[in-house]
Amino acid sequence: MVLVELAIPARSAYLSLVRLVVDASVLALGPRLGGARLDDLKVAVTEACSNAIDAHRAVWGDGPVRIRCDLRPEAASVEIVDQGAGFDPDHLATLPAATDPRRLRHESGLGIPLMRTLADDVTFSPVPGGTLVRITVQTDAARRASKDAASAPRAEPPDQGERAPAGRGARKRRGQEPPAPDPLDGVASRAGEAADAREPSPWNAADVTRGA
Amino acid sequence: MELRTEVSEIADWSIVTIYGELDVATAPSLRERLIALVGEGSTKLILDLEGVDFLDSTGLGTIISALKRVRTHGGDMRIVCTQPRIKRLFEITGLDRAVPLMPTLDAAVTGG
Repeated sequence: MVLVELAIPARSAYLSLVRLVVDASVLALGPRLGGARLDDLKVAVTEACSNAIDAHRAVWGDGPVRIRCDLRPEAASVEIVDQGAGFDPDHLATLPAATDPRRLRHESGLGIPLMRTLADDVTFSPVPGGTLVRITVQTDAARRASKDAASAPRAEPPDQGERAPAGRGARKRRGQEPPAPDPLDGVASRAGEAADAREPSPWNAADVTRGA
Repeated sequence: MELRTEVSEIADWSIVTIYGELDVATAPSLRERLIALVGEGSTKLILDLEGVDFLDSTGLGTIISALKRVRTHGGDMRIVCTQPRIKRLFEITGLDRAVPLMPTLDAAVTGG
């Protein structure tokens, strides 16, 4: 397994850099995702980073949002950690289905349905001081193997567009302290080998909320 | 990456050709451009997305916003898009059922 980590200031101008790093990391270090699947991953990561930047800025301003690419032969997972006010993806405003003409009344709320449709798995986990979103896209071969092996197949993505974020303030936590100054200060990235994919760390906090 | 737009006219359509990445960082500039166009009376818009390298939900929201705006003014919108990765986002969100995706600019202008 290979890890690539990036810390960006919580500003949307850095989203294109995140996409460049995800793109280059997957292409250089595997897995062998097709171009379309890599595009899916970049859209899902952009959605998650946009949410993280919004949440983070609302609380702390420019401090770093962290992105970690976990690259394995069969899949790429990208984790996005913010130190925003918390977010409960299961408490989302109800929107009309995508096929309903009334859906056009809503210009926002497409991000999380897109993430869930484009990625093979999306999890939202509270971590100390924020939220961790983990987005996984598998190779086609791994997807087929998962389907074949699965005794409980993965649920299909929900009908598009039914739900939109009700606002990150919904589960605002109390007693948070501002994050410590970040040693990476600004933009930094590094790649390294990791012997064990799942050693305990804030990145690997137990999932308490899974994508529906 | 900067977003660049060019506006031209064919028949009674205003063609907005968009180049670059359309995300939360760049969508506001497009939104302002489209609002200004409609405000100037250009209520028949064709958005040419063939030069768009990236699109996310904020970009889609900007397009929905413009679509509502032109229809409120009795106008219409068509989109030129053949890139599978962009079309896919329209299909997933159902937006392709609200605004026609055309394979060429000529098809968008003639409606065929």
